[in-house]
Amino acid sequence: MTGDEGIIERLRGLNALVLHPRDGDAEELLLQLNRIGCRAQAVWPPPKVDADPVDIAFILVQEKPLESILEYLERQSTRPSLIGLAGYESPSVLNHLISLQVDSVLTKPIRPSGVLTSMVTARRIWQECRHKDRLISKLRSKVENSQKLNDAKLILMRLHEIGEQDAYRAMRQQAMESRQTVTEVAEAIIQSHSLLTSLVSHRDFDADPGPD
Amino acid sequence: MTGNRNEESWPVGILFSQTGVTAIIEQSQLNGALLAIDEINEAGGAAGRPISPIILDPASDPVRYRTMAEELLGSLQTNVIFGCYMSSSRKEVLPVVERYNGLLFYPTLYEGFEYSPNVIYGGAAPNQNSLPLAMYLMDNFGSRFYFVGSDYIYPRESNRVMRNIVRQGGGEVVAEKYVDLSAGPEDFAPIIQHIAEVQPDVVFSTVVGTGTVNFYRAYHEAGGDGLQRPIASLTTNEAEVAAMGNASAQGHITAAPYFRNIVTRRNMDFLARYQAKFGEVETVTSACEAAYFQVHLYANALRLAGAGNTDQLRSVLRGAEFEAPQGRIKVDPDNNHAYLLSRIARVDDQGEFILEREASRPIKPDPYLAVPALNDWANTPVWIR
Repeated sequence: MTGDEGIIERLRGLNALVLHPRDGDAEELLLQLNRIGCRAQAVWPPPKVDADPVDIAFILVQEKPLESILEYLERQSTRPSLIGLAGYESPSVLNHLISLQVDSVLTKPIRPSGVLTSMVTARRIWQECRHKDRLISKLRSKVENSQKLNDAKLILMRLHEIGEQDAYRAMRQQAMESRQTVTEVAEAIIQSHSLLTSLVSHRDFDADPGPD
Repeated sequence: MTGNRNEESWPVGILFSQTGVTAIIEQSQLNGALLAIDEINEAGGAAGRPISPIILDPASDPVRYRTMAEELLGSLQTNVIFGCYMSSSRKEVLPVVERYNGLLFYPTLYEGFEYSPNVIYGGAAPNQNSLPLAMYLMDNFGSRFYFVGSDYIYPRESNRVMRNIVRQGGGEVVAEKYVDLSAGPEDFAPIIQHIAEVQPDVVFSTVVGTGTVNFYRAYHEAGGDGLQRPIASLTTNEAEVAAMGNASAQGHITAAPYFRNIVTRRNMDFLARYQAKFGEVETVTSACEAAYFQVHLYANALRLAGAGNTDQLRSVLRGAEFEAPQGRIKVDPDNNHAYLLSRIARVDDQGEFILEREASRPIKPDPYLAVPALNDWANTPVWIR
């Protein structure tokens, strides 16, 4: 089963919030969300205190940013999928859509057809961004860890005049004995080495410049 | 046709194909609509005026539905159309009725995932027919399904829904085949041979139009027995059974809100009047019944609103109820679809649909249900018989 199919299947379970003045557009949107089968509510002005976590938010986008909507968004620990509700296609509205980083847009007047499409598009983009964010932070820590491991290995190799594999084995042994990760052992080695180096550096010791 | 018909009558467009691949079923819908118009006009019309139908024949060609809808809502100055069978024709008419703010009464089951304020849907959505049919088939025949369909939007979407239900029930779809809308017996021969080879428990057909008759006949001639391995469908109806002959139809299964031989006072009256007007009842189908009750819904709305304006009609149509031949139906005010009965019937040796299962109450339409859940009891009616 593809991820795309999952998006459509899971739409009904979503908590939807409409941050838009209660007018014909908000009404039409709310009715269509109910037809689709989402739990949806419209709140205006934007709430100062949050109730349930929101999965997908439809937000009014005008020429100038609305403080109350910005505050609402800043408060969310997990950013919901965002669909902008735009009345015009003027450059300032478009800029605002960019700065809010909406995942999709509905232009007013709101019509029933198109709501489902914009939700599916928004969810796909939102999921993909979340997936990529997670992947990036995982890769980043992996790169950092391998850098640390290398630095620590070099320190051990110089200090004890051993080969690369022995240095790594020693770290792994230490990690197992002290129930730490190899990265934690590497960090400890780097730290104590830099401490020792700084203690002796004023005595013209030919110090290893160490890692950046 | 007079130029000022608007003042003395309610002109309505009728867009059912009398020629082409879907002529059998659409002629049946046309008859249902015309019978209702007769009944209304004989009783003095609606709000003091008779309904005058403008009947056009789109000849089963989706593009003609669009151009004819434009003609009806434009130069012919109607605002109401009864019509369309195939989803592909409805998708052509939809933007036209939205642009002119007209009303399309669509008396046909379809695949769901649509709502327009300009359409009143009278046929079943998948939660009202696919789900009950799948449950029935898995209870009685097994869970190895073989799909055969005409190649257009409805069969593909309908099969998607059915596949999801079958999988939930632990079953499998052993094959999924599509044929052209104008498929003849020779196009079905390789499929029927394949069915004999893979031995599914049941064949689920979304073949529509004249292909239906060709398929069932070819199945029968190749030794396929409906009593052993039935073909199940949401569309195969009384008119098609009459066209294919009793021997080809026997044992096969259809799920629909209405069958001709439902024994209720209301249905008896309906059939008697149909017989009087058309001289037969062989062409009465669930799509015919839907066209019939939709015209009555329209007339009642005219009486209530006292006007034929689209916005006023829409506001009184939402939530409107009607004692239809199938039972009491209601337009769901949330989505313009109808609360309908759900029935499953099997063709006997006389070519009659014999009820196998029946919902005890109308089922709420849920057109945006992507994956009907087998265990969704909230929306499952109690089954009788």
